[in-house]
Amino acid sequence: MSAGSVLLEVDGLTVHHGQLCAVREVSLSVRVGETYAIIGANGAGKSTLLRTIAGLHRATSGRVVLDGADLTHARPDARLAAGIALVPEGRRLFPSLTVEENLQVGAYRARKGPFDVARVYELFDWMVSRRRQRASQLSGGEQQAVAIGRALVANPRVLLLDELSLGLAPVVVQRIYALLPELTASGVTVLLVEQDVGQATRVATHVQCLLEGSTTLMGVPGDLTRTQIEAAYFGVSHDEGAER
Amino acid sequence: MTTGAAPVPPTVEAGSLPGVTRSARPTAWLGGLGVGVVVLLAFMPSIVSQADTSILLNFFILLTMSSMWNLLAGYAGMVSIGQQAFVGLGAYTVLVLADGGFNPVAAIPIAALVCAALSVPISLLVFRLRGGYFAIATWVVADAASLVISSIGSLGGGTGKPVPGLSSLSPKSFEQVTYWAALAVVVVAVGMTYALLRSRLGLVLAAVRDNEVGARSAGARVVTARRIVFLVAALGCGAAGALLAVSQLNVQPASVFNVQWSAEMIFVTMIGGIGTIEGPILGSVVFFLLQQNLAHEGAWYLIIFGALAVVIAIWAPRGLWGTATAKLRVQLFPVGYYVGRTRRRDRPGSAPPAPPAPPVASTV
Amino acid sequence: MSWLNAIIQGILTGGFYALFACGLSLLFGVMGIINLAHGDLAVIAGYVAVLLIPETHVPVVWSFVVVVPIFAVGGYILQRTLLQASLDRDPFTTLLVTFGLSVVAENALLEAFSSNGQSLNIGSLIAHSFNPTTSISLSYFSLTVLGVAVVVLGALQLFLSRSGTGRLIRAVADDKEAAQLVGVNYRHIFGIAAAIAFATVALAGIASGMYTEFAPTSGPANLLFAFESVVIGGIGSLWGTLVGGIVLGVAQQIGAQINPAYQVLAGHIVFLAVLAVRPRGLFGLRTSS
Repeated sequence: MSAGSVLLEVDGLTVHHGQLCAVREVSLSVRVGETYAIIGANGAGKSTLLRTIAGLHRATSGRVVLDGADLTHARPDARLAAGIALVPEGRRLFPSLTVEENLQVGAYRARKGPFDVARVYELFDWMVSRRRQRASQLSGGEQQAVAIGRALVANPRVLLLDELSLGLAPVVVQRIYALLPELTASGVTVLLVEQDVGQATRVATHVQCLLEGSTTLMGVPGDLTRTQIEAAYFGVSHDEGAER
Repeated sequence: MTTGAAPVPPTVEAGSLPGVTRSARPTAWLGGLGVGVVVLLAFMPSIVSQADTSILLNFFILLTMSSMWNLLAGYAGMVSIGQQAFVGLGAYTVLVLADGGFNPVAAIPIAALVCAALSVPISLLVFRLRGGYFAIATWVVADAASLVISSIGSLGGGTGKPVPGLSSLSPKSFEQVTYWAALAVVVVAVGMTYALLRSRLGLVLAAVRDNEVGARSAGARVVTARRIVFLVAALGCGAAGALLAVSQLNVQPASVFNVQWSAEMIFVTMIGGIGTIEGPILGSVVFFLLQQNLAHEGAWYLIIFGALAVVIAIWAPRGLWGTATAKLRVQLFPVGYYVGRTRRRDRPGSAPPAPPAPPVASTV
Repeated sequence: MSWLNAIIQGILTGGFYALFACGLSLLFGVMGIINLAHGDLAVIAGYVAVLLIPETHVPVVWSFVVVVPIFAVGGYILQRTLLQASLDRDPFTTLLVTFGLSVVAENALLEAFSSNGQSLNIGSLIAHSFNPTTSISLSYFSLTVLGVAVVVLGALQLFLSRSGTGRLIRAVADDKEAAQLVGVNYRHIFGIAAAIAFATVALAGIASGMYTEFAPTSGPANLLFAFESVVIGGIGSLWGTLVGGIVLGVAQQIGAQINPAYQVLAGHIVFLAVLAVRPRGLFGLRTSS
């Protein structure tokens, strides 16, 4: 599949949490090699969108298509095998397993590709000396790195990153985001969710803004003005704050 | 009971909601119906045969127990498999008092109170475990209680003992007295459950059932609420056990401490509809119909009833009553709150308005 | 000297209880549920052996070779169907469903086999014992069962900590949603855990059926003893379960020494005392889910 063709296509996706509509008619297409960022305030439906693409929530309507294959009704484990890996919000490592075991479990249904446990140790050399430690004993930033490594060893075609920066010190966030170009160079397409607009626009080739579950803006970061993004992020009126 | 708003705890802002009522429909006529049913039942011994009176009496005992288990599991989320501890202790309290010359019928309320008192130290132990571990721990306590009682020679040991003190009554008046006692117990048990669920405690339980962490952080005394429910359930099951002793005039540890009592309570509640006051009533009716029709088939009624409970638990967890009334929003015993369609006073920044008239804390 | 013998008999009984308990403990650890039909499974295993022995011509003492695999497969199937359906609702439903199954199984066995006791007769093998003094008797059979319990617990521990499947089981126990995200079908893993639990409890049921009589109503007692072993040893600790089983066995034998009627009661009292004084158990990591 050549660079530039559509890899992940989300078409008119609507998701409900009980009676609450969390994602409303959202469409997006991510092309091979892109770093696609979804931005939006807390509660905009970004995480729900990502979790639905990964198969953790059932879509009320709409479709999720990976390279022509309709995965809308596939289970999460089948989606991983097809090439969609999610690094969930809050890392969600297996706390009682060691660092190495977390990575080994990540490789359980790995596709063929450049990443394996050894390659992850090259990316994060500190892990080697701490591979026998339990994941629960790591710091937040270290856990985030293991979580990314755990997703990478499955050799996903598209890597979903949910709020990488949440709860981490800015310097740690910088270091983790600095990895993205290297991942993209290895052939991984990235779809990320970020509350921090500055961070997202710096790394992304494409941004899409959600507000209360609906798309309010999409485009290439360089083409968008700060005012445009703010308006899309907070809603039309400037003086009205976002919820919470 | 009227449909007026109950006292509202300061931690829950139900008072600020507009048009809160207890029921979706006016319910004054239901109160009249209830009184009518009880009066009719009171005259039953003069209307129906002795065998049917005896069936009704056992129906009241089972309904009392099931209502208590429903309160425990359906409203307070505690699955006890050891309620037979209180059934047995209630029965033996009657035996002890009757041996001491006390009138066995008058001993029934005392037996209930003794069980309530005993539930306090028991709850201190079993409340240390949660969920399934709590369930088996209550079972261990019941088994231990049974073994302790069986080892006391003066109580008849393992073979049990007859209950003295009622032999002077004629068969007819004995039957009437025990029947009325059972009717009184079941009316108090169901009425008490109803009153409890309409009180502040009911509100706390509903909040815990919806979201325990949220309820705790809103200041609800969750453990206290559970302890009160455990105590009330012990009271009710103790009274039921006392009724067993009085009506059978004989107490045997293997019978009164049998885990089958808990099994019947559980199945009746699951089949009728857990988390509704009406559920155990309907479930008890189904149980007795099944038991009467399969009386000559040995243990088959329990096999069928148990299998039915399993199927209902998985595929129709609201039970017969809950499934039947889900669409109608009928409640014979209105314990939920309904938000009326009246003028809303939205505060800026509040959550989006809810759809009209959802049950805030009605049936599961 | 009879007191010393009571303690020794108690330790030997602990082997049976640990074998009963390890499946209960595993299922709780992996799925967070309690299978209230656990004790009845052991009884069913006994009856299955009774039925199959004449058909298969397998010597009674080897009957577990036939029954244990049947239970493993049955456990996987039951987990993937009925138990998973209940688990999809909530743990509360699973608890009630397993209790319902327990009552159904007990009464179905009563209908099929009557309430009479049964046993798996292994002839003179049961009678052999080692007698260091006249008042102390170590049954070779009970020693074997204790050895089997140690081997089973050790193998289980090794399987969970070293094998790839064991790693997946621990991952699912930690966080089943995250496990799905790395491609694990947690339902299959639950099925494997149930297969192991059913296999071990079948082994326990057959071992105990060779040693003492069993009846359709023996299930609850098996469940309570297994449960007490788990809680005394400490929820979540596999070796703690063995110690818990031994403590329970010793308590029961000492109780029986005082008065035969106090055997089971003494076990309950020790359990309740542990709950009151040290609710985390002797080796416990956590008090509950």
